[in-house]
Amino acid sequence: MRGISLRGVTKRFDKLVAVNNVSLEIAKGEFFTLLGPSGCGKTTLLRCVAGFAEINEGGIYFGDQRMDKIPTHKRGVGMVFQNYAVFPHLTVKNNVAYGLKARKITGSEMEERIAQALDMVKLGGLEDRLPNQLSGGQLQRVAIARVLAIQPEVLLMDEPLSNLDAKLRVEMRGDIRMLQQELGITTIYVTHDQEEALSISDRIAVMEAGMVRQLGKPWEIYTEPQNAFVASFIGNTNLLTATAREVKNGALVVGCRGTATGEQEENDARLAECPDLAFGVPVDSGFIPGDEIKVAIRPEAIEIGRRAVMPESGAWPVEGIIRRVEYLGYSVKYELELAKGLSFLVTSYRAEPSEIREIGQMVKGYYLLDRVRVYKSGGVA
Amino acid sequence: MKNTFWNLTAILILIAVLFFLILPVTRVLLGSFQIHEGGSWTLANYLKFAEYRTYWRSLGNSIWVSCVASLIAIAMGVPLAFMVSRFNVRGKPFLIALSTIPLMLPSFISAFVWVLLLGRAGVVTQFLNAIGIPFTSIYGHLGVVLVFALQFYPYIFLMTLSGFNTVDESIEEAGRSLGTGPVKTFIKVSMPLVLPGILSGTLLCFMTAVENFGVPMIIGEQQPYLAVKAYTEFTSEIGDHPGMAYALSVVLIIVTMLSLMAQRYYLRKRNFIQSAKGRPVLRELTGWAWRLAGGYAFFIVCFPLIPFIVCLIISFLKMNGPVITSEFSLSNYIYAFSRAARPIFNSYFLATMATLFSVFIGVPTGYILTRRKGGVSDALDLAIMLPFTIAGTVLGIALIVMFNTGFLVLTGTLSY
Repeated sequence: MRGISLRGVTKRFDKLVAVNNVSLEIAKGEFFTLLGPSGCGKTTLLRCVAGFAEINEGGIYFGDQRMDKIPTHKRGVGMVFQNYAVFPHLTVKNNVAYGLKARKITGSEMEERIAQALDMVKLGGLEDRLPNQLSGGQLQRVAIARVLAIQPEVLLMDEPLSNLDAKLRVEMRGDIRMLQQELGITTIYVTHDQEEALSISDRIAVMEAGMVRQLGKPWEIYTEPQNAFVASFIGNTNLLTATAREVKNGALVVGCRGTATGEQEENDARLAECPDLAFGVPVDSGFIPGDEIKVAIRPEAIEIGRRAVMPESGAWPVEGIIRRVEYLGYSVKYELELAKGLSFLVTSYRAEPSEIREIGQMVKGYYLLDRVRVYKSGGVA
Repeated sequence: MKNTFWNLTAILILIAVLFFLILPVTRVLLGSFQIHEGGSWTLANYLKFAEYRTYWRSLGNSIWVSCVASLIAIAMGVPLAFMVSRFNVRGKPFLIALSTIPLMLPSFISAFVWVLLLGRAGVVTQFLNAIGIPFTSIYGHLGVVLVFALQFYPYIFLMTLSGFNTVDESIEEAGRSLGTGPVKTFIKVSMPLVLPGILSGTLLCFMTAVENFGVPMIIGEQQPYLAVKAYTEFTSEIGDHPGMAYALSVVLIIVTMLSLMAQRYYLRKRNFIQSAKGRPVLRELTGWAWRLAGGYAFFIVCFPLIPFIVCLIISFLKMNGPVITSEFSLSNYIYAFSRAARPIFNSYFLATMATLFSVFIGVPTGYILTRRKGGVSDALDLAIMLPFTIAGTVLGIALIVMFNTGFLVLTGTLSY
């Protein structure tokens, strides 16, 4: 088992730079996730590691061995595809046998490894089925068994769960994580689903426009987003464009200039709509009055419960009218209109019936200053 | 209410199929067991078929030339489909459009032009002889095979092409990531997925060839062929003992039905679902490889068009009696439209009417087959496949037998 290192990998399609000078060190046995919106280059990077796409610059190494000039079938990688890519003309058993036969593993050893692999993905007994007799979840299990049977050094997964329904997705990702840990295979996993990435990974690289925007453990990515893009892409975030004004009541007070939902380009039309409201951000955020900044406040950082009491210090009040209520059982999502043209998403885990707010209600709440993240304004931070 | 309407439509269509297809063909089938119409039941026709060399040779010939022609058509169509699907061959849409031309033009015209070129006194034959290459003519099996292959290869090409185009990119990538190189992956993964398409195309090619009447009639010369034999037996012995023609027709139907059944049996377990995410990657060829691939593709597509180009050119040449001169003129067209306007009109009129009828029958049939399930629909599915297995010649004979007397007379009317 070896780790993977990507050193200054760049991949271009004509003029489009799909992967821009990406360097990553993935430890052996690590479950590493590339996370990002569609078109961010995550799948292209994975395909470069698999050998389906040739890189233009840089190097791809498994351990100390340079791999980027070696053809796919000699790289010893196992790949799981979004659309399963199970061979439709072969039975489950022969699908799993395919990679073994290619490695000249036959006879009793082959039988043993097939049985083992099918057992791992809980498909025992379906050996002689053809793919068109299987469900989507079963197909993806065949694809995984097929890869596990060849005992690859590196496991590559390209959105393997995105064609499955929500419940199965959650179940399968648990299974995948368990298998990966049992076998200790170095894994690169590509997804656009941030919840999936957070739940399954040892480390995550959040990508945008061909570049890694943040690299870290799931909780680091979620609680300490390093820039406005990551803050808005991971989870829901109320993102404001603002100008810092003054220090008052233990907070740096900023004037709202507009809202943004993760778009890099600032939208002039939206800026014009924003009412003149002041928000508090931490004093120690490193900004001084006059700075143009972006403010990110998580929906769950805002407290609007009926019994909530705002602390004496370190908090900032918010006040508005409930415009939308989404009851999700374990939580309630609100849309809180602070003023005409500016609404906050609020997630409350106080979901008991006595706590639930109603549409049209005027509510007073607050957020804690240390839950607020502040970034330099103006594109890439 | 809606159901009643569609069931009624289905039953009407079934009655039409029964009346114009099943009854006449049954009549042929029954007739094949009688020497004379209304005579006693006998196997005499089939015994005669087995006894006389000319009859079973006609069967053997038909199958043989159709098989050889199909093999040549595979050799033409499959590599062409592969190149068009996987390489950056220039002018693809144009190439595909050109390739369908042979299917649109009558095969007997093609046969006729090949005789003009490669017959005993053909232009190319004379040229070859003049430079010392011994070549007599393409009459016989050679000519029939040549025309069949060039004429019907588009079936194989088009069906294989759609096969190659729907092999999902990630299926091939999966093969490569599991440890087989590009060539082995192609053999182990792509080919099995394309095979049903190749076979369907081959079956179409084979059945069209076996049933074909015009080409062996013109270019087959001394050799007997099933479709020709059935027709000549029928026309020369009508009113005498047409039983033999019927027996030959039945043999022809059996051949086509068997091949259709063989194909259906093979495809039964190979109805692959493909969730094509991306089309296969186009490989960019450069330099000589690119020129070679493009040249090959254009050669394969353009060679079968020779008869039609020659035909077009000759049509503008002045005729001096039966001798073609090298002078350009429109005299042939003037002659055709002034002296043979009626046949031209008939052809277009009949084709138009036939198309209209086909639409009236075909559209509701298609709707019923796809949207309604149940007994009537299943019966319709079966009935509608029948014309596929029955040669035009046989159906013609059957319809004549059925409707040349009585309340509905079709013979000699515009109903052919």
